Amino acid sequence: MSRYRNFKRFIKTHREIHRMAKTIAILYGVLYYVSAGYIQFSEVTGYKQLFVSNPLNIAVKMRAPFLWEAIAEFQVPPFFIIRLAPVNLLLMLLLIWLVYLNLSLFITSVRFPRVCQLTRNKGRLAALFPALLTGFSCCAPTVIIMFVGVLGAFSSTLVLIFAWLIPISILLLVIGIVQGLTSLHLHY
Amino acid sequence: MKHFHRLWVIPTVLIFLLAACSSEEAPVSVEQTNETILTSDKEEAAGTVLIESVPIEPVPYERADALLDNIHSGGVPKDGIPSIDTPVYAKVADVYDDYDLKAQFFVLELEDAVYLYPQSILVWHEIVNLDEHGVAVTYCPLTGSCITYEYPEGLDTTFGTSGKLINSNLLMYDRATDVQISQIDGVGLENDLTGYTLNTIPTFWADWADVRDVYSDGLVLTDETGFFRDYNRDPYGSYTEEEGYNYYRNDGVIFPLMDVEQSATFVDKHVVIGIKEGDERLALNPSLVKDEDIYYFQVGDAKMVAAYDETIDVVRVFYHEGEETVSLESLLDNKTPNYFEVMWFAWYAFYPDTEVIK
Repeated sequence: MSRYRNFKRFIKTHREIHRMAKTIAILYGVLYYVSAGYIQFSEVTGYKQLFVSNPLNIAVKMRAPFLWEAIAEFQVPPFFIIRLAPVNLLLMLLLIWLVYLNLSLFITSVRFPRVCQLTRNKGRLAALFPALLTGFSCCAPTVIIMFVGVLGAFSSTLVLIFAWLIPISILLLVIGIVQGLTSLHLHY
Repeated sequence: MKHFHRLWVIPTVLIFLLAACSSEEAPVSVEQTNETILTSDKEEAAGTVLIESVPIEPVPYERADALLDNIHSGGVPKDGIPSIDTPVYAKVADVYDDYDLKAQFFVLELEDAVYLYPQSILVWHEIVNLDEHGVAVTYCPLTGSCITYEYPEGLDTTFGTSGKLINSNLLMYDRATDVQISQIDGVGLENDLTGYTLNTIPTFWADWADVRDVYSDGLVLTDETGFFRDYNRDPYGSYTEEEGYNYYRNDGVIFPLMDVEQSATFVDKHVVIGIKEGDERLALNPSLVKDEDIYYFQVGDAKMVAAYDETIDVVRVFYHEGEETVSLESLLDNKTPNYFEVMWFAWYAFYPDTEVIK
């Protein structure tokens, strides 16, 4: 934890790293929410809001691995439909935080190689690979259907593998943070 | 802000708590208005499996073990694809211009009304429970089969989706007994429902252009399902457009099939009419009937006739014992066998010994 606290202090004194990592992480979080289908772009004629009457039950109803039901929908003209899925919102916040820390460490390793001894390649992998996994898990069904003729018998195996992409990506993001923090050499 | 860095712990803990509490059998809300979605007592109970004492004796079913051994996960939890348990309908006149003319609809003709189910909605729900009629309309997008089943006799029940598949086909479950039933096979696989064959009611695929005029008094299922889905997007492709990725038209099947050696009689996704009569199975090519208007054939000892109904561009099948000079109109009161449209690969995977009329 002391390494983490030191890194937070370091980031406070290097606001440009904080700003860049925060911007990208939030953008990533929004893209995750879009790819999960909770933000949809289609023609909307008038503002409308819809709610479920039993939100506590619906909110914890899982529709697919790491995808929960939405409890409200907001149709915003001209072409936004936003769905409120509380558990996935929490998951999005967690992913934003983990990606933010990974990116902060990555940028630090690139800009201050003496401070963070991660090699550039390792740093890139730690930050990007888990992010790709999370994004891919949401568009996986489309990919399988597109290439079902080529994938053949491997398709069903892929369906099972995709179910684990989000927990794997969270684990890899945490590992990336731990690895990044242990290679930090900050002295405050 | 001093302890801001600890905030990430909150969503993490909440997610795992909620994931742990997530119930595959959580009650679902079903009816919605413009502003709110209401829930009736019935919906509160839906999704909960209440094992009932079953007034049905199990009978030997030699295929049960083979089918149970070939269950594959579809990648979603039980009831993750939520059935529609309180369908809300609109009059045809009220939605007359709301659909593409080529949009596919499932037509169910019951005594009180004709019900029209948009494929674009059922692709997200797969089952509509019509409790008041004691039937469930079931649809499996991966095998292109829409079959209406009567609930097992004497059971106060509904059907749900298990999240699993056999031969890429929907594996339903009966909510009163928690017994699994393959959609195409339509026979109970476990416990007291072992060997119980569900009765079917003919259900047809037709274009909106035809059904909206032929069934002008019909009732159309609305998108007030109680769940938020993008009903303008079919996750598997499209029946109205040729372009882009399209499971319905491309080669290949996602999940393993029981009979690995596929038949080249038709291409995989070619639609046949599957007919069951006792232990006999027959795949009838609908194009043949459309060319001939009336086609006589036999399945086992049963004489049947298939007639082309040009009003909605479908083929209807009836038992027929009389002379072979009949019209569709004269057949409408005849009894119907168990038949439905289905993609060839799936029919063949379930019934490799099927007869075929090309």
